[in-house]
Amino acid sequence: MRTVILRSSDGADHIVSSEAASLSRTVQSLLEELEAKEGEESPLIVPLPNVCDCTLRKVLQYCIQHTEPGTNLTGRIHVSETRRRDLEVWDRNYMLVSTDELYHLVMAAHYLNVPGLLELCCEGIANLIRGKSPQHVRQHFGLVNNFEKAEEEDIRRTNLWALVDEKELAKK
Amino acid sequence: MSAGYGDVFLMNLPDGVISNVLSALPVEQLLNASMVCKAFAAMSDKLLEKLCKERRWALPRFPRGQSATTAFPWRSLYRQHACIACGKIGEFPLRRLVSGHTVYLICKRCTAIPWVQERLVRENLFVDLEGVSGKKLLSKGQRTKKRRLSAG
Repeated sequence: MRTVILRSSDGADHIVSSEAASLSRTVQSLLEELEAKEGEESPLIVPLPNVCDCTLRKVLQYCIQHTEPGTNLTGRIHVSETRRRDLEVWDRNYMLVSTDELYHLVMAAHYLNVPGLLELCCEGIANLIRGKSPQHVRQHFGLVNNFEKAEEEDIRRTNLWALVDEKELAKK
Repeated sequence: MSAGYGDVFLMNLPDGVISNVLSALPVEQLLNASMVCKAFAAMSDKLLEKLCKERRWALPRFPRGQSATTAFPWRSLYRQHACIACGKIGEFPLRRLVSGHTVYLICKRCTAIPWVQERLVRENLFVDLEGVSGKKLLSKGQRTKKRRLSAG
């Protein structure tokens, strides 16, 4: 098994197996290019100018965990039941990060194109949105209400009862 | 990377990621999230379009030269077919009609919820808890009000 050196934006090197690095499709295609250009023997150094050191470390944790023996790279179909459950638990713990870290992580996952990690992060963000009023979501994520008057009226009119409006109505 | 918490978070995410995030939400939360901002509404409308097309619900046709009156047609289409209280699709024992057009539906589970019944009472509607044959329509403990449904 070959090892690969991944270089983060601040110049720190991470040595990982090529198997783990190939979870990222971006790195995988870069590796193929490098191999074709420089031959099989030379050390493979992949510069990743868009990912900072601490985020890369976190991403690699995921990659290594998900390529350990027993994990099938293609589709995870043949993984044993216990192994799959372990991974689920591991994923859940892995997602216990601050919103800031989550943001960097999702950007990195998008850039590096790690489908599993991207999905995991999206679920993490979805969990942050879940159960919050639109007002609350805007505050939390720094979004602006950019609806036009008519649109907002339209959307409010077709709103669900179960959502915040009903609770406000009940208070009055 | 300078973007951070509470500053510019979701604004900076690529569109594909936002639509992934939204598709991880259950439908009723999706309807809620579509009220956040235009980008969310547009994105969730696409997701709802898929949902509607799976169920073969089609948008009403408009005379030539006219387009839908709402900015997010699929959202309102979905809403017409779902329970107004919980946003799910299920059994609908309650249907409010105004001159032949459905205004809203309420699913079986929601008719048993007290605050839904309260709201119905505010609109001069009542949940019918016994069928014509005297058979109980809702299970025990869920019956709080006994009045005939008067929709109109």
